Amino acid sequence: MARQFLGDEERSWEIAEFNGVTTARPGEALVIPLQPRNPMGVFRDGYQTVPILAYHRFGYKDGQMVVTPDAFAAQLDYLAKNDYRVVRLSELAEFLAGKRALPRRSVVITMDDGYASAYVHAYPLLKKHRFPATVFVYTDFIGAKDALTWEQMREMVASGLIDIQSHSKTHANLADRLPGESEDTYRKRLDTEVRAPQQALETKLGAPVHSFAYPYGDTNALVADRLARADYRLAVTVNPGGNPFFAHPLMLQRTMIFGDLGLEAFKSKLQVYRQIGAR
Amino acid sequence: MSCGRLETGSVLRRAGAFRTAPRLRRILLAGVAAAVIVGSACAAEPDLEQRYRDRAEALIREARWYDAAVQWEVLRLLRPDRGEYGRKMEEARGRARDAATQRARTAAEARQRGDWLGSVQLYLQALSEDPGYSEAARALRELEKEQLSRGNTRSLAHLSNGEAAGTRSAPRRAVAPSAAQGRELESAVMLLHQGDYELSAKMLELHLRRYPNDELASRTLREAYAALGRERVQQGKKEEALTYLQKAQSGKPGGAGEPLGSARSLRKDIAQDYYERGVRAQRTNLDEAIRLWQQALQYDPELTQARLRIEQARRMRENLDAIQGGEKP
Repeated sequence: MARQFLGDEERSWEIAEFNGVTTARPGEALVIPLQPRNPMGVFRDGYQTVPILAYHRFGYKDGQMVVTPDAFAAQLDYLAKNDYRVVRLSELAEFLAGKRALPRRSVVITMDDGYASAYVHAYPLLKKHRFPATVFVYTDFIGAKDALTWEQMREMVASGLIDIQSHSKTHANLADRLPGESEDTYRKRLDTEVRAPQQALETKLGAPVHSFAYPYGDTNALVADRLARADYRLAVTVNPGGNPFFAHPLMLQRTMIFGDLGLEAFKSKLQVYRQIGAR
Repeated sequence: MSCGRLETGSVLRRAGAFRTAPRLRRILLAGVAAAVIVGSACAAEPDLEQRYRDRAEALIREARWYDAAVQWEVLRLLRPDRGEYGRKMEEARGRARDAATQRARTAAEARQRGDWLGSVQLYLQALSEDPGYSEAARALRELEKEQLSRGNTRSLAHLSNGEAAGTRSAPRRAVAPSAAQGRELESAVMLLHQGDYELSAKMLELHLRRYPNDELASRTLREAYAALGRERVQQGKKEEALTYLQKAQSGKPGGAGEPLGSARSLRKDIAQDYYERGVRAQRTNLDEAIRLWQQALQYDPELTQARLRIEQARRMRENLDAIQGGEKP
């Protein structure tokens, strides 16, 4: 019904929510809202926020940034079994623009840097659940020993689940101006850092690049300005928390998932609702 | 009577048209200002009509005008022959818009007063009254942008000393960082952003033991200490806070800036706390009072009252000793 009348089967939740049902029974009358009733997710007692989870590396090595495949599997299982809806970054962009409602328990999954472990460990688990995710790659890393290859990225993109986006060219902290660097040179360097990966990824993968993850999660007004000029629609920091509809699209909050995070702590990171009065 | 064609984008179909759900007999397609009804004899659904009526009336009792308007809209679709549903829908929509307008007006006043938080809450309430109230949505986006630009400026002013607004110079590194060194540092920086200051500081301390000349790590560690200091102040743990703020200041060129200022005022606060505890202790335990005032002076040597109290207490102690000595057999 969602595919036929709303043009997208992913929107079936809107029919379910409107009617207060999870499945349609024979003989039951159902109302299908043709327009989202509350696209911004603001209610009497609070408002919807969308957490963006940030992973880096998967495997069995030590380190804060390495999540074991077992832990990742448990986290995805938890999301699947508890009515969380993993949505694409592009869907979040539409939500922020007020054009699309998102399910109440929406979550975005992202992976930074472009480690091969995203393909080896994370991708099979995401496929199992049909969960979409975004990999932010810094293009100078491609070709390194632990990095994703173009072939792996093409395969993931072709699955329709994985989206490859930009994490700069060199992974330098863009908020830092180099010693002795003039304003003009800094600006030019920023342009290279934001445009070169966009061009490389679009050329090699044939998919639009519209989102950026700030290296180290660090940014300033000039970096955001250069991104806007390069037609980036979204950019993510690593300041934790969920994103309401009015979040600044180039300053989105993102919650890091560290290697030593237990499942209970993981649950606490899923901030999908905030009470009015709690900022 | 059949189900009516609706305002915009409407379609009239029979349930049998669904190949994916052939057994569904009645399906209503409705929406807000764009709706469709599908199904056979949907008007002959007294239960359904009653259910929506009950729901609409209950929502009106709760003054939830917008939600009530949606229920009236469904009823208008079910029974286009009953004009009252359309009228009630319009009335509820009007009430929702009025309530939203009222909230938005108060929100705008709060914004003018500079009450950012109050304004955000009121605009959110306006949207909860009427989710279609685009003026409130626009104001919230503007407020968020304003807040971010203020936050950025403050944060950059805190991190840099007189550099161009919006940027800061990268600290020099004595040697190019190795991949492992870079990853360690990245973890620590991200932990700092995520608010895990303690773990970030621990990782940076370890990192700096191995790479003592890494100025980026030193600067990040100072930020972590300053954040820990601020956190401890909020927890009322002033002495721990002072230790962190002093660490945040140590090794920082120039010696000026927020942590030093904060540390100075914190020292005065702690001294005052010790001083007041001394005053309370004086009645029952003179020695303890003297110890507390001495402690106060350690934190603020300029706290003259503490010096005076100590002198006074010492004289009192001597007098007491003399009296007690005279009474001795």
